[in-house]
Amino acid sequence: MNLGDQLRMLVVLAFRSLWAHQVKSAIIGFILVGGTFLVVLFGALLSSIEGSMSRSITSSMSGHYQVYDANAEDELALFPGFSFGSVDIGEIPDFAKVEKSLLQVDNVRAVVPMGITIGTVFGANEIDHVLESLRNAVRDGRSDDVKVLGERVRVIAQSIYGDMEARAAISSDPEKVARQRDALNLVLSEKFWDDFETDPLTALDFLDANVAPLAADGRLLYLRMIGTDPQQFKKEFEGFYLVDGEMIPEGQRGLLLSKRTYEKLIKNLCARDFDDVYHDVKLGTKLSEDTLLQEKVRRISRQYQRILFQLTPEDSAEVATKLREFRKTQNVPETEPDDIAAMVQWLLLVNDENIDENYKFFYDVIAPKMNLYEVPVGQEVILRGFTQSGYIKSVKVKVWGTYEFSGLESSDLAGAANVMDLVTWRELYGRMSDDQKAELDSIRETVGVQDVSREDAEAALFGGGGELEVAAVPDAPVFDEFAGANLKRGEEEAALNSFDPATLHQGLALNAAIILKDPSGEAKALTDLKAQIEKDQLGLQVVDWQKASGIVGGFLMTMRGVLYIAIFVIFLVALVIINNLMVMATLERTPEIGTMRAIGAQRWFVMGMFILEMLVLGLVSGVIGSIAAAAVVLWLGSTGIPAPADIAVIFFGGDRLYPVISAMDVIFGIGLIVFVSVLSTLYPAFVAARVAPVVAMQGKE
Amino acid sequence: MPAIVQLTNAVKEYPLGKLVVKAVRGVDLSIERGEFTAISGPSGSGKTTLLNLIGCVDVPTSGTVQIDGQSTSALSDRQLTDLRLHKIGFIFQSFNLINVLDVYQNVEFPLLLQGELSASDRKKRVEEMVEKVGLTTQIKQRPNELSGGQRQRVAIARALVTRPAIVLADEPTANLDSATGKAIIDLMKDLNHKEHITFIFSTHDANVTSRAGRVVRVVDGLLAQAAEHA
Amino acid sequence: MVLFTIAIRNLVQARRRSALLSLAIGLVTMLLVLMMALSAGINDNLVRSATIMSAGHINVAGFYKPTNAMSLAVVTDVGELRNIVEENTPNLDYTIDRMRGWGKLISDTGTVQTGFSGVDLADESHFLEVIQLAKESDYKDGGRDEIIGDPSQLAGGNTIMLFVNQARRLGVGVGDTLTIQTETVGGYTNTADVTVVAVARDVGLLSGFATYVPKQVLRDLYQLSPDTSGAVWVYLKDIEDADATMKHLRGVFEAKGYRLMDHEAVPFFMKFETVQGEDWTGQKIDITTWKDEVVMLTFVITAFDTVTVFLVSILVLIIAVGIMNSMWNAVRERTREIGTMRAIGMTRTRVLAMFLVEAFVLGLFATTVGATLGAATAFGLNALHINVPNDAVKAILLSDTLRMSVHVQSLFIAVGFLTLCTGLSALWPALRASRLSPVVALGHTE
Repeated sequence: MNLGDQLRMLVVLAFRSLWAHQVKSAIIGFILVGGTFLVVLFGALLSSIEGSMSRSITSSMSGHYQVYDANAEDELALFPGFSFGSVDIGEIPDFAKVEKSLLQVDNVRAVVPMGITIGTVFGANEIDHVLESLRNAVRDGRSDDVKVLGERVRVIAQSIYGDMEARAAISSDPEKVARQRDALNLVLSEKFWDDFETDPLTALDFLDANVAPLAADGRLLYLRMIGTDPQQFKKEFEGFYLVDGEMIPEGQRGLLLSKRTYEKLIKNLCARDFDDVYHDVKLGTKLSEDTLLQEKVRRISRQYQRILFQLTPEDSAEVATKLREFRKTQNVPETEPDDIAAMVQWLLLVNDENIDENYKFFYDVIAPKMNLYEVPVGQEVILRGFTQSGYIKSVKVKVWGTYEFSGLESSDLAGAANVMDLVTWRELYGRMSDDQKAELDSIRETVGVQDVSREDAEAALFGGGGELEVAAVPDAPVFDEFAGANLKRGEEEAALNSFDPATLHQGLALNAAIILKDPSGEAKALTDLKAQIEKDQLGLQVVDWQKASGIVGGFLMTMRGVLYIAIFVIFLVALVIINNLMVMATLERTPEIGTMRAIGAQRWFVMGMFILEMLVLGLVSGVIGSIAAAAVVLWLGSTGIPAPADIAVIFFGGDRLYPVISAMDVIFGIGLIVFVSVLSTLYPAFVAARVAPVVAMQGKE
Repeated sequence: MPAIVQLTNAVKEYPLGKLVVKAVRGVDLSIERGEFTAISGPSGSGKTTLLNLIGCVDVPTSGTVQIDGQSTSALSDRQLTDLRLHKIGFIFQSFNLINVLDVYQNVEFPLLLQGELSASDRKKRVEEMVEKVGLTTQIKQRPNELSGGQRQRVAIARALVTRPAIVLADEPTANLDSATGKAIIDLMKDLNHKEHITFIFSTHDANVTSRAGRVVRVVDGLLAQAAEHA
Repeated sequence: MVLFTIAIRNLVQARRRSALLSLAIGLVTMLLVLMMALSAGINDNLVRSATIMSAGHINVAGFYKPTNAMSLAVVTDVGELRNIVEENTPNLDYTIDRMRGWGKLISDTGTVQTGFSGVDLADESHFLEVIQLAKESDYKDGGRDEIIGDPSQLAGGNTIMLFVNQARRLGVGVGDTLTIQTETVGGYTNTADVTVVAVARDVGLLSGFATYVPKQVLRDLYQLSPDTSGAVWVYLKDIEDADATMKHLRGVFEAKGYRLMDHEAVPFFMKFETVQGEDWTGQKIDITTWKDEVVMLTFVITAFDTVTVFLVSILVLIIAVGIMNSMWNAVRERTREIGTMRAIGMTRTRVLAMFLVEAFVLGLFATTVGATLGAATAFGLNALHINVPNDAVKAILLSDTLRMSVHVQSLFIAVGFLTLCTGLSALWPALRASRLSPVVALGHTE
């Protein structure tokens, strides 16, 4: 009862003393408010980042948990890190068993099989497109088209021939260059085209083998492939949605490119860079002020060939006419050169005034005539993969469409993942089931495919001796297992391209995503999963989304670490300063303390008085600081913080972070500040408690 | 019945730089209950030190100080504090009120520290005491709103509210004009008569000494036994 | 000088206050020194790995376009380029030239994607000095605890030197054979078998993407003639001159009639696509600095420096408040003293100076101690060779070990800056002190 009264007196004393020493209280309060503000603000921001990230990542690729081989060499990394090396996360040889076992865990809704590997694609160059069309024309017997296309092949060969001089200048092997010249000469000769009519296939093979590589303007694209059950993937990951094309049909082979990859990697460089500049200008950058952007515009303009190469002569003429008219509306003097090359360069060399109209013209008139994408939706593409032992594996697969993860549309990291069916993926990875192999062999037999490699084609024409010195070409990618079958494949193709959907869940996977029914039961689910794995001896390890996301998750932890260290340092210094201020304040109050001690206040009472004072100040400051931080967070929550860099998109779970503040952030902030205030007052309180009662008798105030 | 205050050859030395200052150099003094004693002497004579020893805010370097039969030398800080709280009331030269507390709270303060009375008892006691010093109307005011004399009355009320055995007053009138000073001494004397409280106060004001029941003169840290008034 | 004496005596008088303030100021100085040392350490790591593995201080490189639509990162007539560089570069240390390639390295058990640097040991006397070999036990379980292998064998033949991380991933050691596989556009896959002759210690992140082979191996893989190379790496006596020298060399090459590419601060391998689409054939020279070639890593330093600035500003603010308050107290306590001094004829300016000097002396003392402790801590941490456990932290530090780099210059900056802050925080109280009128000051009772 009386202790309560004493406490009340202490509280009254604390409040009144704080009020009486307003300046001191204000200074210390200022530091404490600032401290709480920083802690709560940054704490809330980081928690928000964690929350957004967790939402976007669990709903896009990771699920609530990921499982993979317990004895894996490397850690699972769903997002690409800094290393290009093959990541060895072990294998799940029998996914069906794992799925069956893990589905027995109470809270598990689905187990999605996955596998990540890198596939390479040669972006088709112009001659490839022409040759492909030529092949189709030959197959379909469209002789008029064959003639037109043949003529284009000759034009290309002619232009390559003109470049042979430059090629000879750097080549270590003049003989080889001579051979290439011979090959070109042959293609440019009348005889070749006469032969073409009698045996188009051999001639086409020769063109593929000898002329196409010389043009060599295609690109080698490295694509990150996630093999999975596409239907299940779509169903279980809420973030997944289709953008272009259509979904891979059930039981069909297929590939879905990420929209980001499609737009930022596969799209024609000219168009892609033009998009970037347009985007930047739309966001408010002034071309006239940004020299970097100006340089970029100049670079785009220099890339005009990428557009011209794609236009047929008729299209060129049409574009040229329209460009001429368009230029007039833009008040360009008629004296300017009006050949198409000059005009396209002019079109691309945009400034703040004409960018809108030029961009529109480009997409309205020119783009429809181009192959805007090197690997277009709806077409088949040959993917090459390296097996663990370095073997090259090629698969041909149709690009059904493009997809995005909602919220992560503009993240390069998330956008690096391209989705394909697990059956094709296993082939790419180099692990076909025996059944599949047998099936494939039998189809091959019936179709009568023979593997034709480049050397053979060359040898057939030159009578041997066409071996490269160093190039012990282990395979000729374009002419792999399926390629040769191109012409004769008909209905059999469908057989090759479909499979029993059940096989997706049978056989190999590398990792698997666990989707929970009730995400709030995460902690328990984790223990249950571990127990189940233990029980059925699956030999798997379970990681959460943060661990599974590889270096991205690591960065988040590092950020948290840096924040904590920064807070620690700030508080350490604040501690010293507050301590100093309080000691001085204590010394000022010596007579008062002496009086209290003289009239019978124990040391603990004096100490308690000071600590309580600081406790009150800490609490008040903590609350004020938290309110300020909450206000800022709420404001940011309504406007959103734009992601400052691409890598931030994945942290922000979107282009903007809409931070929220949780009670935990506030409690942590206030708790920390109160702790620091009390800690900082321990020494001053101790000094105060040691004030001798004698000082009260010294007669001075 | 033993003397309420008993000093036996009490010595107090202070270090001052490299020197040792003997403020009290062997004092024998005994003060009975209910006495109204003045300790007088010039500045620096050691009277404040003597008062400190009696008030238990300090302990002697040698010799003994006994308060109500209890020697202070062997006591811990906590015990000394407790002794002060229960046995001694203090009146200071510059009043030493707690500025952030009002009159009522200042007077209540030592009772709170004692923690022995219930809230209602405390209230009764405090109001009674404040009435005795004639400040009932100012009871909710803060010290800085009061005059010097009023402040010293609050200090007296605070000193007496615990019903101590001894009330020590260090130059209680030094910071007051003579009329107010006289009124304060009157009040103290009145309380001494009515409540039989032992008052010990230091002063170098002849007007004050003249009203004391007993005057102890201190010169150079020693007692100069002076005449005792009846 | 009287002012100094007074200042020091006053500081000693108010011992406790001075000590606590010094502690705070010292702590912040120490922190600033450590942060700068870490930042400089990261920078050093970056410079070191970059200039060993990716670039010279300046690179005279370029692209060769055999056809309009094809781009190779090679320069022809490399001997002539080096002559020009050597004759026209002020403060030149030395030059080398490196072939560059990119492809796969395949062993029986693993594959890595990596760059290949074609070296000519006969030409590069420094190479063997900067490369530190690793003990076999570093990359092979149960390996010997000694260095084996001989990088001088890189002088010829089908040889290769790896870094520890690659050796471990590939599961190979000295003497084992690997297959290099490079891909050229158009679908050729060329391979060469090489023997591991040495394994070097990792030098930060970049060592994941670098290996060394004799130049001839790369020339064979890419079928290039002997007078081609990848880039001339120019080393200067002082790396700080890189930017200026780059500009100078651009002028030189332009004057000699070379075609130059516009300067673009990105690594050469990010330029392929752009160059490929441009309408020219033959050779163009591209001159860049080491920074351009590792530009994607410099964000780490920027980010780190931002954090430093932010943190130090907050701390300086807190300290300024502390110093201001403390000086207020000093002024209050010494009001009488000030009054006396003013009364006996001290000018306002000198009163002001007296307090400022006091703050500066305190600041100087505290920052000096702090800087010394900071530097000592940095050296201590360096000596411990702390291994960084976390991949993300490794990425940020650009190294596997914590490395602090204390520059005398940064010590002076820390001491100077914080002393100035201390002094400035005292300005206001000191001004107030100097404005006290002697009468008021003397009348002040306390």
